[in-house]
Amino acid sequence: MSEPLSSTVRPIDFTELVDRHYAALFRFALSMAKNASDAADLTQQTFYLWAAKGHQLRDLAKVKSWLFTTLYREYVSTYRHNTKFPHVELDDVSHEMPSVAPSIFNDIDGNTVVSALAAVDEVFRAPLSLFYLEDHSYQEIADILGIPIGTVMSRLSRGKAQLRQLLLDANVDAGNKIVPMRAGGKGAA
Amino acid sequence: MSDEARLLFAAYRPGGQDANDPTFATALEASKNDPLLAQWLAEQQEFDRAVAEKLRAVAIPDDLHAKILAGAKAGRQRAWWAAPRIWALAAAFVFFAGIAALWPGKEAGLADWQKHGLAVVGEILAARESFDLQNRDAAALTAWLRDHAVPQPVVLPAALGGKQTLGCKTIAWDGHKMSLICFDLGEGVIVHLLTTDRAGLVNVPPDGAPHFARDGVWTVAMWNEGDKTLMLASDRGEAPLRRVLQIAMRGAAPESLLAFAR
Repeated sequence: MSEPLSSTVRPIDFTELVDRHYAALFRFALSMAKNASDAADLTQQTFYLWAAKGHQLRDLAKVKSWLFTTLYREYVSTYRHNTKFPHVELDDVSHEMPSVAPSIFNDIDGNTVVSALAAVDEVFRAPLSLFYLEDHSYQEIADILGIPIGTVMSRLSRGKAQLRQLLLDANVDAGNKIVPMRAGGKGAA
Repeated sequence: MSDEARLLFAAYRPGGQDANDPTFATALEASKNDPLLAQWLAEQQEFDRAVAEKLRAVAIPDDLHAKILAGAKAGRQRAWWAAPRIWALAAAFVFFAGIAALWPGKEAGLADWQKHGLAVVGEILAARESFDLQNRDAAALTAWLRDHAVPQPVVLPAALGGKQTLGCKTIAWDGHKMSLICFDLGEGVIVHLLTTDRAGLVNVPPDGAPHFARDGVWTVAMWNEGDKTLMLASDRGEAPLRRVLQIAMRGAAPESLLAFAR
């Protein structure tokens, strides 16, 4: 399909790299940039940067993190205009998660979930997307976003609570049946 | 424990990948004795699984894969500093380093700051470090270094205006700032110029003609330029260094270089 970028001194095959990661990168970009066009641009730019200087990375195990870190930095520098994330302390974290019955997902498609994710506060959206889209560990998420592990956990907790509420609201707006569950994370009704 | 456990479980992946991570061990153990916590975890895992499944089903644009490959190919053509020639130079460095390791030579006993600077150069050649700025124009590099308030050379970049540069990097050592500029002399020969403030350093050369020394694979020439001390390094022996200094002497050479010419 394409001439590989690898040479005798570059052991990582570029086409294979694209095959393996471009879908997850696009979905991560989509959750951040909120539209497919910008997400495609971010994904292309990430691989362009790999072609330009990613070859300096020799550790295959670090390639995935490099790609996601690069995409996130590109997003921050190109698309995000507010310069600082709000600071979230561990103590601020609430576990008041509105419970959502699993059956809610029978009537919600992927695009609705993406829309809900896109509506989550940006500070929570990045770790949440990495958690769901590519199954990153909390340590990997911390490395990619350059934040402490404790902050990752608190942002995931807060982000999931927001996402649940947004999906609940979307479901109500759509007139779907909601199975009420006790909020607060203290157990279902 | 319950709130702390819930916070931890927010990062606990539903696929079981974290089951053996000791970070979660205590919370998992607690969930066995706390039915409410166990139920909360089960619900969250179900929610997580469902969200992940929906998100992974989002369609990817049909032409994205082809666009990425085409764009990267264009990027490769533009990335001159990633050219195979540079990698050949890196390979040559490794070769000469290997030879040097087998060949007993005189060691100059360079100071730690000098060894650190050379180590960074080695890392760049081995592609484990990268330049802060890549540019073929020395003036662009010195302007960048000036903007970043890093000690920078004056004479050599101006005198070597006809020679292309590869890039520059700022290096920190024990509270001192150093700048590195790499010059491409052509035919596979690269020389590396480290510049730092003289104050507070050991093994600073006396004023006057450049002093030559060897350290492993490296041959270096050291001299002073005002309140700066400079070290020019080559892994190809003294010849490239003398060549560069002779070119510099034709320009606005400082006293030290004029002394070198005598």
